[in-house]
Amino acid sequence: MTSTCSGTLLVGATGHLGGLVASGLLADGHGTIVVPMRDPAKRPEMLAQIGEELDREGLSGEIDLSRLVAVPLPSPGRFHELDETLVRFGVDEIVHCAGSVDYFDPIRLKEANIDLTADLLEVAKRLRLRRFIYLSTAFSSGYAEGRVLERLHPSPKLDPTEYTRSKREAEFLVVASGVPHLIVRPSIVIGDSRDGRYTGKPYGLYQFWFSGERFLSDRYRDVMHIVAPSRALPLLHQDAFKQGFMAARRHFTENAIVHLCSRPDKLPTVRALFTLWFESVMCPQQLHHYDRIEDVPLDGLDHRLRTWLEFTAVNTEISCHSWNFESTNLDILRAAGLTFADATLDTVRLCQDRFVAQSSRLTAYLRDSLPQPLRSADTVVESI
Amino acid sequence: MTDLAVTNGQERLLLTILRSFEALAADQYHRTIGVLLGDEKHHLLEQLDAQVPTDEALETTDLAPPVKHLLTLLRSQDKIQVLIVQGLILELLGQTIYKTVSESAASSPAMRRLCDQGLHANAETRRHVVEALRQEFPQRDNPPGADLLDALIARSGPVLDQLNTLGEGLDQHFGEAFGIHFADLMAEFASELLVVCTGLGADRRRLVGFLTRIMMAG
Repeated sequence: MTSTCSGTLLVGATGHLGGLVASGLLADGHGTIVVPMRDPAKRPEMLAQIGEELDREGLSGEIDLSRLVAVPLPSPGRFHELDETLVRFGVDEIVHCAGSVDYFDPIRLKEANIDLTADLLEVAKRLRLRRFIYLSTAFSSGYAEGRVLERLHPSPKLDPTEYTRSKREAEFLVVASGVPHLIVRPSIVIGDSRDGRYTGKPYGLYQFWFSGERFLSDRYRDVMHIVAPSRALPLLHQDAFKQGFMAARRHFTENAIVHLCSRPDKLPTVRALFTLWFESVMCPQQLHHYDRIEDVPLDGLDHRLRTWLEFTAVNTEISCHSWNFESTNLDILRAAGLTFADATLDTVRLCQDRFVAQSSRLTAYLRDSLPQPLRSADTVVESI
Repeated sequence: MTDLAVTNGQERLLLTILRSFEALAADQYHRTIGVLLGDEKHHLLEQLDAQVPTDEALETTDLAPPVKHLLTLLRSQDKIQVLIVQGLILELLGQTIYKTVSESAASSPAMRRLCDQGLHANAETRRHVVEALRQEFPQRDNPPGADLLDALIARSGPVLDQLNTLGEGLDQHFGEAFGIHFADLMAEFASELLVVCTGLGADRRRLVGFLTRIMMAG
């Protein structure tokens, strides 16, 4: 463990990844962690989430949670109001994990991903902080051709969503600020590799499962249609994210951009993942695979299946792209001793099993809706 | 007046909630977009008033505070707000509720009859809503449908978020009685909203993103 009493300004600690980072920071030092919150009265709820993570790591008794100081989140353009607090707690680093993934809302994306980053960079410059760590995304390259490098990306011909464009723009702000920086780019985060526990909202693969639960568990369907290309899905377990993030923070003292992704040769394909879901949960007699949603005969489908396909279309479209992320810096961290659990079909199965077990709707579906022969026997799905 | 009385407690509770929302909608339509308040809606309100003239069935339940809060949130005399939130969002949700209860084997004949009337009123209003939306948001903007979607996201977001707080209570009160589950309601609602809004030129991708966020919060 690094021993330091320097303080950290952690923005976004109430979020999924920010919460994981908060628990990592608590375990990895002794300084104060200043956490701006929209509602500081909700500090106990934040601590409960972080405490659960520390429990999971067997660290809860060893950590002094009073090191985590909640302060009101300043309004845009008024972050100088934090200066006195940051100086008082010896803050010399900003860890910026806040952001919006609401790709339907360009105003919110600008406020949360670009304007907030600019405000925080001003703080870092004004107080001459040692470093700015920015949590970005592996997909900030947009639909780039070839290998996605650990450097700033030029504008691609096309972005998957406005979200990826806003994150790329924020990365440029970070680098252009002149503040020493570390940019961490995780891929699609899923549950813990050891027990499938997931503390985030249903994004990425969880959106697929969540919408399947919402739209398809109303009744049994013996024929289903899925868009599932045979490409590896760049998943990242949340424990690997935390380990990788903290290792990068410790190891890279110069400016760096670090991709956090599982090894491509270990990753399951989208088709394997979706088939796993349908074979284990939905259990149709026939499963029709397609590479693109344009190929699906939508007009002939019941409206729930059709809506489910539409709800998952953006993510499946992103998964159709061949993502090839440079892993030089992660390889350096692995070589330096980082334990990093790659996502495999087996570890994803753990996450899926946990999701299903925690869903009363899916449990009821498996108990009540499947045709009798399928309830106890292994399902044999005819893939078409 | 209906010739059959609804006596079941759960049914009276649901009707009381529906009456509250229908009465507010009728008042807002009357003040802002009169064409949305047709004969079928008047007739529905008369029947609801006859069955549940007071809030008594609601007052003693844990649903009263969130229902009242939602009703407060809905109060507006802004034409676009009424058109989008009442005319589009809540009429679609109402349609799903009326349809589910009408088809539920557990519903009494009187309840089914009322829900069928609700569906008639709903269909009548929705025809005018779509036309009014076409007039208010002509597809001349670039990208097409962006104005409608911007308005939908800005105006319905807070209401839908508040609606989510009702989810657990609705499941507790009506899950077993009618087979109404909030998750199912929202799934049906999302399917219908997609059809209506994309038909008016809204970008499917953005709309799905918005609905995903709303449904994930529930």
